[in-house]
Amino acid sequence: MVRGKLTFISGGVRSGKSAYAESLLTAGDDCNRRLIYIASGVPTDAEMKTRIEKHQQDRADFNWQTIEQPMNLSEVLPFIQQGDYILWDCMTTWLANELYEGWETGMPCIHQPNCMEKKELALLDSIQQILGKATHFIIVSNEVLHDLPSKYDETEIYRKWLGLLHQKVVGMADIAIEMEGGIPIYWKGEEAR
Amino acid sequence: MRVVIGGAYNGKRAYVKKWLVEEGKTDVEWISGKLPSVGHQMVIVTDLEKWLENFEGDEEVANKLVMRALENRECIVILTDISRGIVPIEPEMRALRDRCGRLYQNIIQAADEVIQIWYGIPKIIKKRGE
Repeated sequence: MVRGKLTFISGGVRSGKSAYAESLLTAGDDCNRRLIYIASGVPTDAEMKTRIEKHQQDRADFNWQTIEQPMNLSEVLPFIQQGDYILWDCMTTWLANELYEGWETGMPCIHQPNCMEKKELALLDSIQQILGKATHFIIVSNEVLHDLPSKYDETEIYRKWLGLLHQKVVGMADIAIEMEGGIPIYWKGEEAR
Repeated sequence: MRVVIGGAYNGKRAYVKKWLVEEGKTDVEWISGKLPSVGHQMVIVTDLEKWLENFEGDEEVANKLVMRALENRECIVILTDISRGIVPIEPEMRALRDRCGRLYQNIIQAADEVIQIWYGIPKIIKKRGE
């Protein structure tokens, strides 16, 4: 079976990542394609709520179906159909949600041995399964690793996991793009556009 | 001299290790967070920003010491880009970013080859003679 196309897009905040990802999935003549948006952002305050609403308005021109999935990407699998065009926005919020899962018990994943390792395997497996059905799957993430190391251990753990997962996903991807001010820089797979 | 530059946790060391195996250069010393002593043996130098943070002396001396340690030998310098975050609230961290950026420019200017790494993917951004 032919695996669907996997694209990874990262960039700074307001660099045009989501808009470019959406344009890649809506381009072309096939008006009947199913567009699926997997949203991992959780509105924790008014600013975040406005941010999410802006993303929703940007998608209003096309018939996107939204799945709210802050954690456990495997839970989207039952909803995925053959030939879907899927956008996951974004891996950075998902990772924060996963690392702090269980914070209310005082024992979040980030402090449990082998916890994120399991989540990593589950994530990579879910991505493969999505690609077994989807025509094109785009994963959006952020560039946060060109900074001074944090004095907070938890932030360093977060950065380490994000870098590692980015490396894994870029390794699996057919296309990998860094956005700079709305311009896509292709690090991998420009010929596969 | 070769420079491998990129963000943290981007696969810079893994890239260098793979390159060393391919080149058959297995017996090479890695020096992290300090300067190699002046000499002619091949070295891999990492975490220069940590050395710089701990260096108590003026910037010109720091730059000279680094360049002297790297000259006249085969070496790979792995540079972690720390220049694109929010401006730090602590003045000493702001000063570190500035000094680090200028040091990196010196090293890159002297390098024969500079490879940028983005999540494991290399891109040659400088090659002497090209």
